Amino acid sequence: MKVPTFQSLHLWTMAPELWVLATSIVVLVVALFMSDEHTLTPLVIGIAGLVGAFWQSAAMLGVHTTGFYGFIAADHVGAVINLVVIASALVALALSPGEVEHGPEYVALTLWAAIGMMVLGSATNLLTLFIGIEVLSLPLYILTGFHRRSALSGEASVKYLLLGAFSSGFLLYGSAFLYGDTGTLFFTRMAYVLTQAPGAVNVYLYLGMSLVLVGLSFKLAVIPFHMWVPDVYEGAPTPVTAFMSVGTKAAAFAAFLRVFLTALPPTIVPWQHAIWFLAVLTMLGGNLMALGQPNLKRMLGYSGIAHAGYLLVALVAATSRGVDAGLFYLLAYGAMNLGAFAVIVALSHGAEEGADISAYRGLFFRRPVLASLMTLFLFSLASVPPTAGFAGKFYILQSAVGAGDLSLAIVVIVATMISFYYYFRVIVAMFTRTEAAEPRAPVAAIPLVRGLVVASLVVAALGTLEFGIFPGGLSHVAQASTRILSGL
Amino acid sequence: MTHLAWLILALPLFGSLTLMLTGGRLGKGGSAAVGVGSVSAAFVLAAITFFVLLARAPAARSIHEILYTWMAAPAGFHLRVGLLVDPLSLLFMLVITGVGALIHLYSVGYMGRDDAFSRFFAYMNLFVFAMLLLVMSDNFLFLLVGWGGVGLASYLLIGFWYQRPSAVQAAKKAFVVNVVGDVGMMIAIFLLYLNLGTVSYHGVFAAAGSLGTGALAFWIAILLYLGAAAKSAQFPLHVWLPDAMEGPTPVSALIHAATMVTAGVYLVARAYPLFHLSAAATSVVVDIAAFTAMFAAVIAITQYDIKRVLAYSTVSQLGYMFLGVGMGAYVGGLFHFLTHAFFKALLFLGAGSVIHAVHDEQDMRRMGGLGKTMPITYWTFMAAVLAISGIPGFSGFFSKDLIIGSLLETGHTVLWLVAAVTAGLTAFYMFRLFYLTFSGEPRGEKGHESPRVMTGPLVVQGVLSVVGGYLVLPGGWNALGGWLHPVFARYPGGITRAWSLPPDWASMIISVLLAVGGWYLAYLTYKVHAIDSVRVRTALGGLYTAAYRKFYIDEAGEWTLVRGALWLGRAGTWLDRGLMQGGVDGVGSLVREWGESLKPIQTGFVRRYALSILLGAVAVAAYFTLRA
Repeated sequence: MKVPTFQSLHLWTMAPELWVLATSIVVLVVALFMSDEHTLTPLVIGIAGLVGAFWQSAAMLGVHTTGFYGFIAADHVGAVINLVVIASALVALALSPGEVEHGPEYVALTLWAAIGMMVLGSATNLLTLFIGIEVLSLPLYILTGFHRRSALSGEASVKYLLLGAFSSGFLLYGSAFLYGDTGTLFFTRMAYVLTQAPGAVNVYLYLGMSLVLVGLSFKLAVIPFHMWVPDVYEGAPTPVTAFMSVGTKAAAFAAFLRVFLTALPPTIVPWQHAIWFLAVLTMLGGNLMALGQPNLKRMLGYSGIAHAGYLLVALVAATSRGVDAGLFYLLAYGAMNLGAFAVIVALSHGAEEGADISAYRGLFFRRPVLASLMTLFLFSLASVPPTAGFAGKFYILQSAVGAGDLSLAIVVIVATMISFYYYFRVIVAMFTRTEAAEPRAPVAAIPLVRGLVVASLVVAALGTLEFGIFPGGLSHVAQASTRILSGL
Repeated sequence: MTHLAWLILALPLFGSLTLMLTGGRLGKGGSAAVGVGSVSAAFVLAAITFFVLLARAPAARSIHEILYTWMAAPAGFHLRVGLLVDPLSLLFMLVITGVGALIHLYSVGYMGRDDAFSRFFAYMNLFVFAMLLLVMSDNFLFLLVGWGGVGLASYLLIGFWYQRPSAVQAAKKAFVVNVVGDVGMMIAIFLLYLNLGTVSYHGVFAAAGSLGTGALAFWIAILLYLGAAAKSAQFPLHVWLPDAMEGPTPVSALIHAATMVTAGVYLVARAYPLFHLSAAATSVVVDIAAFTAMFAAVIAITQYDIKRVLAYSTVSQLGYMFLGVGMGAYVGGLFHFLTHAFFKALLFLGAGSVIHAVHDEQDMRRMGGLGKTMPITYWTFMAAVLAISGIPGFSGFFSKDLIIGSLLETGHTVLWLVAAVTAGLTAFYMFRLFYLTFSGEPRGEKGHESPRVMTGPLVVQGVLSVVGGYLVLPGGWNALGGWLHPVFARYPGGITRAWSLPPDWASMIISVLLAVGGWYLAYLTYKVHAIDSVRVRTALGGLYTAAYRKFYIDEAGEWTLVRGALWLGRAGTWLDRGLMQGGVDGVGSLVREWGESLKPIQTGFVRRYALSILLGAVAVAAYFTLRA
């Protein structure tokens, strides 16, 4: 057990975050001097900055140290989370030219939210964790309401803000209890105290633990703390929804890993039971509620809830294999979910409104390539082999079985079976010919915008297939996470 | 040739993708060329592979080709994507590509008038690909991938005429029933992985003995059988197959007669080392098989839709196949699969030719007298009817008799009786169909012979329906048995007592007499009208009505399965609206004051959401504090 000591600042441990921060400042400064016809310049700067940060994060894979006097972890889990977050921010920006026209702040806000997610993913203590959550949440509240003239968007924003504040309260109270009981904010130190002083395992610890669990569950969209998800997903601009659904989830999952596997292993049995129950509730509830949704964004919202449940299964396993499975699942989920949202955006660029499932009727005959890609992403979300979703689900199942939890594995299978119905409903609609074949609308008029959408689709599709067909070669990215989580 | 097995698989996939991506821009000629060409080329390759293997010593007749390592987990679990071409899979590959190519060719004529011509061939090629994957995989996981793939293709093709609500309904029904089976199979494969740490055939079968002969072996076999039964329409999971006739007739011929529905037979034969472990499981298989055979034959007698009669006949014949592979008479079961692929595909193609000629009429009461106007269809159809009825000299006789005889020899006396009587019923309903359609005076359209592209495949299938039976002759020549022997000799349990039984002449004579009797009764009733079918019907009363209504199985299924699914959906909505929002409302007054302060967004929902979080938090906290 390592006790944190004063060390030099190690600025490089935060290189991706700082790089993105610098980019956001450049974006704002450039925007000041920008004329009206260059609305896409901030977008291009933002994308370039994120690509740089992506490269820096990739270089940090396999590293194992801390920076900022131990407040920030620079490790493998953090790097994987950074990659997922940056990729989702990239796709969100690439899909956002329509949004950016309403103001260059959009780019800066997205970058700031990404910083928050990365900080949350690298938190080594409750303070960094809380800062990360707030830094990611505030820009997202604004981004959700970015469609200023849409009532739905504004309402979603206020709802998200109120409920987000409410859940932050839980997190803060919980952190206070944990600090009061163990006398430390640091996760590794907390585990040390709990093993050395058995008296610390008392009712205050459990109270703190449960409140932190609630606060994090809100961000990960775990039932029954999920109520905001469908409204916010539906109301927010689609690229923002895509960003939230992947980036926030990745960061929140990292926080779960760090809190429960680094700080709280001494109380593993009780939290495993509680999270086991939440996972079952989330998987079954998310999938059942997705069944009747007529709106695709709402449906993907509930489906995202269900996927949070699968991630919890990997956490409950509490083994290194479980952590690997969870990280791999995040990569797979990122590719397929971003892909599905990219298709929605590509369609809404044209004349068609992308959100209602009835609008997808006969899509295959109007836009065969887009419909085929959507089919691929939905197959993957439904975990049909040989897609990324299947490989991810396979690893999750393997981790549950490996931890001896057969009943949870069976719930995963049953939940997956239920999910077939709503994913396939969309596919069937796309392949059902309608009488009047409407004319093809171009994806977008401006070549750059068009190119960005196409690039997002291609990357997502390649990821979905690559992770699915050759998971062996890529799962090493999600491996080697063992040694940084002291509880394992 | 030994490293090109993947090409057999790749050709139809390539064809399907080409057709899908070009989306009809190839024109009808181009689409037909790609669709028929890819499957025909696959057949040629499969045939070459057959001769390559035939030239080898029997024990060396298998090609194991590993494409690449799909997953390598840290714990040493490796999953390789591999293809296994051995006598068993090659038998299926030849039928899938051979009969498949003929049916594709026939479809060029049959679907000629359809606008979605190219989409049809895209789906058909997709099916051939998935079916080949199913039989060529060297492990259970990719068997399951193929299993799901054929289900998807079948679903798309049943609902091909999506303008008909009944077609969409039928497609959904097939989907639901097959998901039930897929879940069973998944759990079985899961149990295998859990206990043996592998899902490759060789790994599982070589270690099968360690599963014991108790409950575990029973459940693995039964859950695998659940998947097989759903795909192969065994009672009570047969309900989707008659409805699946909503698809175009070539689909019925290829998927719902010759190949896909026999996937269950393949699975039981392939996994024989597992089924061998549990006598209880195999007795379930054969008991259900015998019941299915007779039950479906009785229903077939009462139906008037020509395709429905054939569909119930398929269910009944699948019962025979399961009787064969279930009791360990693998050659008998697989032989019947082969001859059935010939004659039943022919029956469907013939029925398609008839339906085509009378402008989409399927009710036999409005047919009749078509023998004169459609000579080729008439004569080839007759060959198929003689074959399925088990008339000596035709293929069905040899294969069916092998199964029926083995039943008596292995001491399944009751099942033997059921199977023999069903043979009589089979002859009766097939000749009933034959006379109603082809003889007498026309009760509807006069019809006309179909174009050559359709009659050509009919003639080829007609020849096969006759000569296909001479692969195994009673008491001597057993080419099929010799071919399959290395597969079943490899692991324990393959070569059972039922493998090489002497022919039972008494059983043969009885079943032939019953078949001829059935034919004669049909002749009296529907040809010369010496027996008034209406009077028989009234005399039977409720029994007839019950059979005509298919013994109310659909209604029962409707009440349990379909209602169940609907209920599940409603439960989801209720969970969403009722429990999470409405239920929370009851306690809502507690926080009303707090809610009042949120005037700007008084949608009434935020409070509820917040309350849900609060209640959840209280529950979690209560749980932890109570534990502490």
